[in-house]
Amino acid sequence: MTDDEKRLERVFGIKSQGNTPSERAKTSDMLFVRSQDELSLFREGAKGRQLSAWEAFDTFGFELLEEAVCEGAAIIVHSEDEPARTFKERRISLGLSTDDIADALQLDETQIDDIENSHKRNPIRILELVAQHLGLDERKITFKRDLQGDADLALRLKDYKTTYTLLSSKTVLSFTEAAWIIAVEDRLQELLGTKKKINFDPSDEYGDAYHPAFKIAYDLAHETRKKLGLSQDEPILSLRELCIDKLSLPVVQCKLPLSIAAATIANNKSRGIVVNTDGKNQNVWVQRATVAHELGHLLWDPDQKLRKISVDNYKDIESGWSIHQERGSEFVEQRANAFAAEFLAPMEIAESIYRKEGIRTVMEKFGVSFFLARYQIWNATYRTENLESITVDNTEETQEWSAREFYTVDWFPIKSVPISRRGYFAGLVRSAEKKNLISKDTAVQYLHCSEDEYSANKESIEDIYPIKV
Amino acid sequence: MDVYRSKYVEREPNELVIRNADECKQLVAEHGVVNFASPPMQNIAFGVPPRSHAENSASKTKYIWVVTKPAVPTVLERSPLVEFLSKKRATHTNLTGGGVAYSGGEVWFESLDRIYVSGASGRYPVRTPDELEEICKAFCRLGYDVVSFGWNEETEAPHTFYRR
Repeated sequence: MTDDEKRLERVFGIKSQGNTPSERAKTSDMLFVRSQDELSLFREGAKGRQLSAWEAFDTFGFELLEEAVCEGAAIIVHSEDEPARTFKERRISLGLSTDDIADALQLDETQIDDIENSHKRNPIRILELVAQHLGLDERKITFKRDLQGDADLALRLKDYKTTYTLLSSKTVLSFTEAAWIIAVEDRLQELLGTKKKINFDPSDEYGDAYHPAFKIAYDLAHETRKKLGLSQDEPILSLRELCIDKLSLPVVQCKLPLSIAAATIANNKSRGIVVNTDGKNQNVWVQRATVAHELGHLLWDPDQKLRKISVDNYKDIESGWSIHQERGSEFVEQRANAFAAEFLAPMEIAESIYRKEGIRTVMEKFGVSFFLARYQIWNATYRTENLESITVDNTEETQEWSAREFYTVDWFPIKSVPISRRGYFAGLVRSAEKKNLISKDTAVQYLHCSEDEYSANKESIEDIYPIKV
Repeated sequence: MDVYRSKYVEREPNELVIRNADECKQLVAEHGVVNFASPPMQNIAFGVPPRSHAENSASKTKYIWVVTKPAVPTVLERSPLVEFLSKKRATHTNLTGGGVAYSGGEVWFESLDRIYVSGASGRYPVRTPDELEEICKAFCRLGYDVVSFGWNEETEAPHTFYRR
């Protein structure tokens, strides 16, 4: 055995395989543990964050792991003012007080003060909890400055909060946590090799008097269907699954104020959609239109339009389905609305079905609301048909559509897991844990549940959300 | 140290972490090894614990110590006198010749009579918080004002980083 092989075996154990630290780390059964300032091999009784060999290697590199094994522990401190400085700067950049964070996370304000005090040693689990909710990469606490906190995202959220007073502190924290989930989902997909890439060249055409926004949107919707291998008459049975399976696009569901429908978020290079589970989105057909609207933004808006975070209120989206939509909403929103309508229920097919079987059948076939279906039929007739003459007796969504779109939230086996971390995210976490790419302790922390709950339900998570690697 | 020695047992070093044969070479006075004694000790390199990982790796004022049956030998971890070793620095087994010891750790002399003590050693780690406390008490009895790094419950090992 060469010296290099001995070094690899010493750090990753005799069961590990491969010629490189990376290969060895992925096949190692060694367990590490970290605190705020130190990393070491796991010892029984250690209360810190347990890390799989891959997690520890990916975060700290081989030299530090070797130091941890050979010297008993390795110092992982970038500088003495970390992590206090990063946490404080992030909080201030988001326009939040220590009290805001303490309230939202149900911590004492002194715990937040301690985190921002470079003389204190803090429990790693508290540091990680706060980092996640501030949209920071919790793996590198103390080890790196800034923790990949997206400064532009923070600036825009602070703008929303202070200039426009649209967002409360709690909502800002919901969005930064969603940004963290989006980044983790993206990272786990890369790690598991499940990430798919379909190229969409953004379009900066938003229409003019001769070529209105809705017509441009329709072309984009047709192109999207084509790229995704969907025929024009094919209903999209689960928009959430389509986002995940074909676009590898995280869709985070969470409770937001009743006025907000959804948002698109970019956390560094990771992009995703955040959907409010409250308010009108409780109707599955409304929620599908909301997600399709955000998809229109994410796939087709150029970067300058697609800012780090764009929050859509229900009234912005609803105005698109009214006869006054051309006057009522911004052109970027008009295009996203028309995209959503055409993507979900292509106009020509919708009109044809309407003529033969009525508007309710259009709604049931494509899983769209009455207002969206009516808008499509109205456009199909070049807006000559009297909008008020298109009516329906029953506007209720069907159970079938609800089950398909909401099952990830409603049927999640561990009720203590927050809605935002259920579904595909949980499936990725379980899959990564099963492959020992993350530890069970990390999986439990990512899902925000107890170890017992996770152990009792991990197979169910795997069955319900299988990850095809 | 006799009170401490009476409560704990000697053990062989953790061989798994020994990479090079010269890590068990017995260092002596000509390499800078001295026995820990009451202050003032002569020719001490004064310093304080590092403020980062990078500082720790380059610290020129970190001493390592072990408690053996007859003495508490200590040496600067990095000095020109130990640069001939494969690791370019001394390890705890260089203080025992690879033999038995009660425990090992690190120490910085802020002044002649004020020291910072950790129980960090890959070869003879301090095993419990009580053992670390007992060692610090022993250094106190020698006449030092002792600042202990303390015990890390999250890694179940002595702290290796000191926060001021």
